Amino acid sequence: MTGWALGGLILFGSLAGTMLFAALGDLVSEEIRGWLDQVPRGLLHLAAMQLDPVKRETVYNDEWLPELCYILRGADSRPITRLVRGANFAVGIVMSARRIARRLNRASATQRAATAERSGLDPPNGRHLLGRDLLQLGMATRMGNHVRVRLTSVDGDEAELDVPLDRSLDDVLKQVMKSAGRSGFQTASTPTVKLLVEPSQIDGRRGRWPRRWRA
Amino acid sequence: MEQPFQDLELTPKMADIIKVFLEDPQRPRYGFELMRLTGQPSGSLYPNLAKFEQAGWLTGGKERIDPRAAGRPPRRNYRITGAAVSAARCQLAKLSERFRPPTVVQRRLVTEGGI
Repeated sequence: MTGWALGGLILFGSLAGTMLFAALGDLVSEEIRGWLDQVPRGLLHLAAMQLDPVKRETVYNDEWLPELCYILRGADSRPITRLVRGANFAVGIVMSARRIARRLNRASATQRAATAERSGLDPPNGRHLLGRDLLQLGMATRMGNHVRVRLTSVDGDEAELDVPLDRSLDDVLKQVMKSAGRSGFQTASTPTVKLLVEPSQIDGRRGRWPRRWRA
Repeated sequence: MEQPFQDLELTPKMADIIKVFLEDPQRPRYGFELMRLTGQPSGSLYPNLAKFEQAGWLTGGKERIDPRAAGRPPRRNYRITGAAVSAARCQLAKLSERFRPPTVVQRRLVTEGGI
């Protein structure tokens, strides 16, 4: 091979290598940028895990995640700025998730939908009515062999009652209706009980619904 | 769903937040915007926003955007409630009075000559 040909080959090889290296660098950089956005999302997900399922819907899905998405899009093409801003936001939320959740009492989309489907009955004596699908079991706390459950009616009235854990769900429903009647609720028909959240101890430790109660 | 109004004692950080809302009570504010305006991190801001909301000082709403066009979901915003506007002004005035520096009384030096 002549010197010229060899020189040309080396030059071509160097050019091709440089272009390939640059292309690979771009690909790797884009890949890393994509992963960087996952860091704040992962942190926010950690914060969401500290919430119960109802609050997770109203607080995490409706507020924290959209705000993070806005922050991550705002910095646009600057990946490190996005990472820093997003991570700052997410870390703060992780540190204060429980405090925030304790203070908030927002209605979830499920509850709002249930509220929208009112029975339309207005009792003459001014008491509130519970219709089908409108009685919900809210937070429950465990006390020995009983569970204290909070009932919420479509009108936002609340009552608490103690239910023994060794009963079936049907028995629980009957007891709920009896107690609801004694508490001042009037029932239009047998409601469907919707289990919204896992029961928790008063001091914040997690409990479990009895198997027979799980839908 | 607006919570019933309850009186709150404002801390300086809470005062910073509510002051932003008082600048334009009709304007909804967003979490990140409040973080930038007050200089507070999310860990400090959001618990206070929750406190305000629980006490009926702020009420929540949703951003009016097309998620597909914007490429992101709509954010939650906050507005100050009517009852909170006057309560907030009162509380801010109290705080301002509390932290106002004391008036210095100028004492005249009396010389031996009496003037």
